[in-house]
Amino acid sequence: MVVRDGATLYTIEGVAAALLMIATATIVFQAISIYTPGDTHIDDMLLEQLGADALAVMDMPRGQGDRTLLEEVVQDWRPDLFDATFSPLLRERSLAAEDPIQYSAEISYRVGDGVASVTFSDPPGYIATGRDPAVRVTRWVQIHPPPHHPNLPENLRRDRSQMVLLEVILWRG
Amino acid sequence: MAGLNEDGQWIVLMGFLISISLLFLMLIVSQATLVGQTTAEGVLEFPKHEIRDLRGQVISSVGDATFTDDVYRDMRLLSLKRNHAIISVDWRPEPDIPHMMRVMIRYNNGVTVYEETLLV
Repeated sequence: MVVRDGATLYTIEGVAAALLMIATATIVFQAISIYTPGDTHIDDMLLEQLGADALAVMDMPRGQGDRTLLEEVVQDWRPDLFDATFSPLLRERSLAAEDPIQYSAEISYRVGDGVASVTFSDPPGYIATGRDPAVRVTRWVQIHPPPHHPNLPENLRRDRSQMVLLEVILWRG
Repeated sequence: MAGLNEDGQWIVLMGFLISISLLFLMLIVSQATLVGQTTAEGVLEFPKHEIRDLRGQVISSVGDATFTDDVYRDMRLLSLKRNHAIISVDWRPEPDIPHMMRVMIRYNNGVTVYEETLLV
């Protein structure tokens, strides 16, 4: 077999073209990001962080020894005030339109050896599609004895300091 | 076979090499999505907010002396039923330091175990 060297330039051209194509393909594929089902966890993580941060902001004492806003809205049963504070914390963005984050808040408390739950704030106006992936964040809220608001649930103990659990479901609408 | 044209074999060979290297690149890219998913799941599963919230609430309640047995029972039951986690808090006066409480917080949700002892 005689190996002739007639097509050497063609070979070099082939190699150069291949390198060029690989480089082009690399640049193109690095420029786009493919959103796989596994990546939805990253959005969920961010949403959970946002909700926990918003609740933490509301659970800051206003001064030394003072109650927090969150304790006040639960103790005085003020879902309107909760919504007015919580919604902007979730939705407001700088230099962009509001983020359409929806939420539903529930309060759980102990009755004897069982747990009772009651809806605290569930803003209307959202029609669920049945495919709204939600995350859940919780926050402990301590209620101190007097004074008690008449809107508090009937079977909630009023004679002692107690701990209730505020649960918030968050999703993007 | 003497009349077979032998020109261009190198081009064919390069074609094979390139296709095989592309195959390996594809394997690497497909691994990347799996790694991203397991990392995100690991972070999501870790109950960071629950532990920080429990810790903060226990410290503040013990600090202003409103952490009673009833409150402790509230937290234990609600944590078990709603957050699927067992919590245990032990608080007693520190013998050698006046006005100080020794608090022990334990948290276990079956995956993550957390334990802390501190003075409040």
